Amino acid sequence: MLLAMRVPAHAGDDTQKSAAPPSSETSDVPPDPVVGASLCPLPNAVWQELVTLVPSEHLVSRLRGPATARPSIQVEDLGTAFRISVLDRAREYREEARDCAYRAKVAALFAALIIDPAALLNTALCERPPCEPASAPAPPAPPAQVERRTAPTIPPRPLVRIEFGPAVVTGLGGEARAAHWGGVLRIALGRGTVAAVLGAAGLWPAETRIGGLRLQQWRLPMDLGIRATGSISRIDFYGELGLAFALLSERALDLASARSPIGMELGGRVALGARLARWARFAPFLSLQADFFPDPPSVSSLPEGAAGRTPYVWIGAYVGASWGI
Amino acid sequence: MMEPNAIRSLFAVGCLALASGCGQDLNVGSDVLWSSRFEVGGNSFPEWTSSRFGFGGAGPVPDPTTPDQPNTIEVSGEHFHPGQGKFAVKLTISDTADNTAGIGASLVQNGGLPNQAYYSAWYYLPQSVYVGFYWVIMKFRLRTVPDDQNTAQELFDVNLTSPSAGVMSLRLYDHLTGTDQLLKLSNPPVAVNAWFQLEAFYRAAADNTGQLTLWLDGKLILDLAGPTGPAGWVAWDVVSVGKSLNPEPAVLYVDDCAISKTRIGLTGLISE
Repeated sequence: MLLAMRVPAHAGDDTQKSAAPPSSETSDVPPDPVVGASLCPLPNAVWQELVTLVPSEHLVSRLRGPATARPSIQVEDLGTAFRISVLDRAREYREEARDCAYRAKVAALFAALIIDPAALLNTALCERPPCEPASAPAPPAPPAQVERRTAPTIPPRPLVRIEFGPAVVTGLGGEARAAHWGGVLRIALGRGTVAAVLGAAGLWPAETRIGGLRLQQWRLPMDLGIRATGSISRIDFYGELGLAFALLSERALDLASARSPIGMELGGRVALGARLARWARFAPFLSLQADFFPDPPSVSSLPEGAAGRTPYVWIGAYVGASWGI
Repeated sequence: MMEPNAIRSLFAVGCLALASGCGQDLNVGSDVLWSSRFEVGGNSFPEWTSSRFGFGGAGPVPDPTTPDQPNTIEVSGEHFHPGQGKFAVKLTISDTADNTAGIGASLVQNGGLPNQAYYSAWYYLPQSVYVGFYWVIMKFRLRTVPDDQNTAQELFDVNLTSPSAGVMSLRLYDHLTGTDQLLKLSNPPVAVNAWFQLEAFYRAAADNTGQLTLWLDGKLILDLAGPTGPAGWVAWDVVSVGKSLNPEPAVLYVDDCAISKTRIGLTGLISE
């Protein structure tokens, strides 16, 4: 961990003067010590990082030494990964976010471990050069250790996440609890812990009873709110709070003359949810929600008069896939 | 901690701000097939069958604008059933001692009614009346052949009675048997100087599925099963037809008449 933390410190002023690769006319270092057509990371960026980790004399001696059949460092951009080859040792790192600076650091670290691991340790322990030379060179760290120490950090969450899937919503408090089935579409906007969220659900009509009236009930719920997200391992857990509103239509099934008036519900909404593989573009999610309406529409007919109110509370469950953009 | 009323008020304000219809009433329809509240003004009675007949079809109801006529039907604001308007219909009959033809003041629904339905009317007796022979206030009629008006017959008559001085009650006369049907309550009391509701469920059937059920102010007073009239034609009349009434003129107010697929009851609404 100390090694990883030191890298940024050396990327500062102290090392700026040796950042450019030396030319063959002014240095003993072979021309183009870092080669390859890589765009991410650029060979030059790898070199800039490398000279902050290994003293230049060590680099010269190792890259020109008799053991170096290929006196250069090669870097290849493989799209969602990159490959670094140093002194016949190679390692491929997967890095989907294409953070080129990060890639350069990882590549330089790998090269430094191959070229001069002792110097790397000295660099890590030394605050300011010159540092005491290492008493004995440490054995090269196995590549597996490199991978563990520099395990790729999880990329930031997508800016926009679209969630869709089947939904079931039911009202509480009615004589007959009607389950409305349908689909939900939700959009979360924001990378951070708190994001704006907008949702709507299309639900099929369902049969219910209010005050003895047999009704076919249809709802189009919508909501607007904020989502706070926290993570545990590979799972995002989130809670939502916001405004809920819904268009509601009731049609009497047994009356001599029936109408289908449309009303509106307005209230608040809370929800809890979880999403797997939180950094992936596609990830499954599960959400439970409750909408609260303090003044829901009343339903009436003749000759009965007021039959009752539509539910004060609607609970729903959504499950589906989310797509991060 | 906010009071629930304050929270509701806040929501109400929010609803107004959003111009939404929070808590609005969704009227999903009606089981009321027909109603007459006498609120349209005038004495045209458009909800009723246009040719009004006297009891038994013996003659037309007299024109109320003709002072010589003994019987009148007119919209009045003197008394009305509270809560659903400001007018009622006033049925006035006189010379009942000589009413050998059964003529009175009648509002008629002459056919076109469902084979089964609930029939409701509110009545107001301003004073008790001695009933010497009969005083019909609601009746059902039938046709043995629905399409042949010449086959029309009397069926059931709901009558006011005066079992003792100052006391009014009801009886049901069955024209098929020529007798009164026994009520569940003996001499059920009818309010004087107050509104009372008479509601009937009638199912026309020539077999034992026929039915007549009566409620007086919501209390069941008759539940009669058996052949009634053949299906296909039902007539329902709200009337004041009497013989040998005292004092005269005998006045009866009627309001909020309705025919419904479901029970209306004492609190039922018959119009929006």
